[in-house]
Amino acid sequence: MEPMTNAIELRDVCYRASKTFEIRDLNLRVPYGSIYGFLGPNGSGKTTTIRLFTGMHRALSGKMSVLGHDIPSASARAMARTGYVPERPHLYPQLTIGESLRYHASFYPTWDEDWAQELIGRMDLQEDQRIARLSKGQTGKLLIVLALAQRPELLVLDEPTDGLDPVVRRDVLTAVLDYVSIAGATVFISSHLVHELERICDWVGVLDDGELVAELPMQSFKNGIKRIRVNDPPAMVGDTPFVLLSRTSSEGLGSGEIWIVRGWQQPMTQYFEGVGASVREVIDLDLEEGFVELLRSSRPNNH
Amino acid sequence: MFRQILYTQWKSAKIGLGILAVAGFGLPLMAIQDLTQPVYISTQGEVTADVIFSSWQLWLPFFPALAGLAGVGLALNAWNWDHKTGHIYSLSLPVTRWEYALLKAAAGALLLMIPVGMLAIGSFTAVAALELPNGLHAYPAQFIGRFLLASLLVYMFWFALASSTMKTVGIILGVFLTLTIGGQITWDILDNFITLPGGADPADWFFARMVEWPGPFNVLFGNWMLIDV
Repeated sequence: MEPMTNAIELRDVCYRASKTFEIRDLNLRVPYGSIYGFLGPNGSGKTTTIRLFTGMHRALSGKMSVLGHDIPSASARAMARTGYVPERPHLYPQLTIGESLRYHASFYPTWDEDWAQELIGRMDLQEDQRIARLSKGQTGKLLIVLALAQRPELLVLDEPTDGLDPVVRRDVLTAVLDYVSIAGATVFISSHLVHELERICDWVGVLDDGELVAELPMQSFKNGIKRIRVNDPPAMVGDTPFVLLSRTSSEGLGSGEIWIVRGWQQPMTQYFEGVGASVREVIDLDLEEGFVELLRSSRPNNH
Repeated sequence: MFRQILYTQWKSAKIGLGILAVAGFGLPLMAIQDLTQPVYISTQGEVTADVIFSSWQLWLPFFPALAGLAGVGLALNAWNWDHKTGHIYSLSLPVTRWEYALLKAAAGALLLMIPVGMLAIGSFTAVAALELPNGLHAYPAQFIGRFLLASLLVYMFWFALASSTMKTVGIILGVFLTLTIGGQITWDILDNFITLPGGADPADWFFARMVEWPGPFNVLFGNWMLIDV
């Protein structure tokens, strides 16, 4: 078996969370230095996947590695180099911000106190504020400060901006991007907010119902999913140079259909000429539309 | 790392610890309070052994209860917030689960020394305030040692239980209830059909194995006398 060379790598990972939900044969690769957006609807298994490769949950089978460390056997060593922001706040409510910083810092030998103070100031937080009395936005900012001040090589952010107002969301994402530009860290960010990831990510993985339905560079995802109006489409599709996600008859087009395809490039129009059809129009889908079509096509009875 | 864990537990337990400390200091003094009244003091200027024993018997149950309360309280305090957040913070920290649990256990055990220390001060003060009759001796060191052992035992038992998931706790309690209640019911049914050995009731047997020497909870039920022959 070849060695794992990505910042995060999952191979054939299976996990059963409950009788009704499981992760099945999950394969995932997050290249070093990438900003990897992990998309999926609510309940698709994003948080479960994160908890698997951070060693919080035990997989039933499969192999996982984070920064070259086997998970779960060396998860403590992997987490020493990883900044983690969970889906829900988890800090001790009785502590103040300053006490939380000191508590967190004591676990990380790479903790940068000067930078922590700078981030606290930039995020407009006060050290004597109690965690229990922080607003949602302040808590979100503090979690980012804690994750960044340990100078991690990998940032794992589980819906870090969920429920935050646009100003705080921008502050949080700016802090992450600033850090990445300086440190060249890898970022794994899960979200169901498609537009948020569109701006910052260079890789994207789409999870639905515990299965990874797509994993590709963001550019390919953005440019490669198209809605195509096809005249005189063939009854049987056969081998195509693109991935046909769905096809539906289109009213007002006679024998026309609308095809949603992935991996589209302009020369592929020749395929249609070869099967006696023609392309009437190629429409770019934005990321959200592409995401929705991808999910629709991955689910049973989608046509 | 340990200092920070200790501080976190101290901050959430300090009010409870304060109450336990006051109780630890006050209980031995209250137990001998009546004995310093003139009515109990003989013409030789000593309280009699009978008076001491009967007075102590009244207060005796409070000491193991205090040890248990301190142990249970600190054990639950150690894991309280981790349970509420599904242990996410602790599991995301770069320490192994065993290391983290040991650090937490040690921090709680150290905090337990506050009520134990206060009980020690209270016990030595109480003993110093009494003039004992001939044949009676004070055993403050043994008394404090018993309190320390009892509170540590209860603490470790509840700490282990509290550190587990609800599922594990459910399994443990399920097995325990099945063995005791289920065993008792089975025993009672069998008793109607066959002759079973007398005095071998399973629930009684189990309870006796736990609290009688060398059972693990014997320290809670043994001799809690500060003053004895």
